[in-house]
Amino acid sequence: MADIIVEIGIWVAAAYTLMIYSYPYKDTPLFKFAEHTMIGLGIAITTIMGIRNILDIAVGSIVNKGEFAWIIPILLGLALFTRYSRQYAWLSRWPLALLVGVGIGVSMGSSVDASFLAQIRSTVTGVNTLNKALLGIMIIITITYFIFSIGKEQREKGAFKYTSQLGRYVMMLCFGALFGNTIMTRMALFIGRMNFLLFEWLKLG
Amino acid sequence: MIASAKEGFWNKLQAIDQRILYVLIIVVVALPLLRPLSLPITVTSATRTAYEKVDEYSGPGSVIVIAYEFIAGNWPEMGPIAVAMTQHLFRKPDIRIILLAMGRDQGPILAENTLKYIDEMGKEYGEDYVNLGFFAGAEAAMASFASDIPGLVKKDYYGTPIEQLPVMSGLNDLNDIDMFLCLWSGTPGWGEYLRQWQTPYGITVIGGTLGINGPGAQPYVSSGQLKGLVVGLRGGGEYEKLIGKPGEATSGLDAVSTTHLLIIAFIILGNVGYFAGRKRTGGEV
Repeated sequence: MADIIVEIGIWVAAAYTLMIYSYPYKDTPLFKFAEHTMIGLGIAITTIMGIRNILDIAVGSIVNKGEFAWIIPILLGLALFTRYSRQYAWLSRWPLALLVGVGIGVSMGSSVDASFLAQIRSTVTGVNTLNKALLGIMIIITITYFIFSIGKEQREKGAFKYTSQLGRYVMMLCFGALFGNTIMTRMALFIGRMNFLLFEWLKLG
Repeated sequence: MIASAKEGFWNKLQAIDQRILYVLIIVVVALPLLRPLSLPITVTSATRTAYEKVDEYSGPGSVIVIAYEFIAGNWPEMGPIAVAMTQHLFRKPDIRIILLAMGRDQGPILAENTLKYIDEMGKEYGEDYVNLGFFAGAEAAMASFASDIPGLVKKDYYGTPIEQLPVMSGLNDLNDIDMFLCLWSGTPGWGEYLRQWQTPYGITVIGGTLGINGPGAQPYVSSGQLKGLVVGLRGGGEYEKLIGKPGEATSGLDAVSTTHLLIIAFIILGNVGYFAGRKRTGGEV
């Protein structure tokens, strides 16, 4: 019985894979159907996970342990839904403000050091290899491209003209690397699907 | 007549029907999968460094956390990395392994899926490793775990109270964790762990991510915030080679090579068509 269910699952997955891959031919109704199913499933899973979290963490704590403080986040969560009512929409601003405030507060504490100072430290210290020296030079010339406060005339003559031009080339190199990696990722995902179709569905291997 | 036929040829090179390209891609992916070419896999220094760092920081008595912060759709690229790195750790004697997710609710399911592909080397669930499941709250949950593990973690993914799991005994905060493997595909992911775990606690982090994220994460390797990084299907294949256990990535790397060759050929063809057409029209295309 379990084998039959697995086999049905494989056929359903194969059918949906082929429906999605009908898109390169043209925007077919099969593609639309598969696309909408995927969005629906995604929302369903997220909703179920959310409800499970509320029941397990908040409601569970109230019922099993008598921790009534959990009523506050539940009420705040419910207040988010008041945005559908013109009269009470203002209530939704409170939980939203709390969410944004906590989010910024938690993340800002170390983000300056994590993403900014540590990177500067790493760039300006330990320049002991050609790669690191080149990295430092490329960072500086790229920054010159973004100096707009000196006026258009100054930017188009002298050293700035050449450094900003070089900065553009550095950025193009970077975008090229990013695009190349994007293609690699897409190919890897496609190879994964082909693996599934050839070996799990068609059982050719 | 001949001249216009030639011009037509150059123009056609620039306007090849994309469906032809798609069919050719299917062919060059399917053929090496069905008949492997066994092209040699060269291990890059980035993957080797990550492997060596995992070795270095997982000595006897170590406690390792692995975060599965990716989604099922990323499995073809992230799965081989997760399997290879997790397998590497499961071979280490006398270590404790904690699997969790705080950014992606699919994480615990993917952690379970990873375990299906690995040899557990006699490690016992609850004694040597545990799947803690998903913690809602993303960055706030990460901060909470870092400062007070027993305060946040009450039970594992299967509902077993944490007091009944010896693997979790004596773990109070992030200072009790020796190494963290961050397997991420987007946000929330490395950026959040960097802010809440790596920067304030200085924990050793080894990363694994999609090819698309590789260039963006590289500065963190240079700065030492990431001690090592395994990138994409290629990185997964290299790691499989290092642990001596070929898997999905190894079998896919031939197809990666053939598709890249095809793409390079089409880029050359398109450029030849462009420059030849430009020459014929005196610079105007």
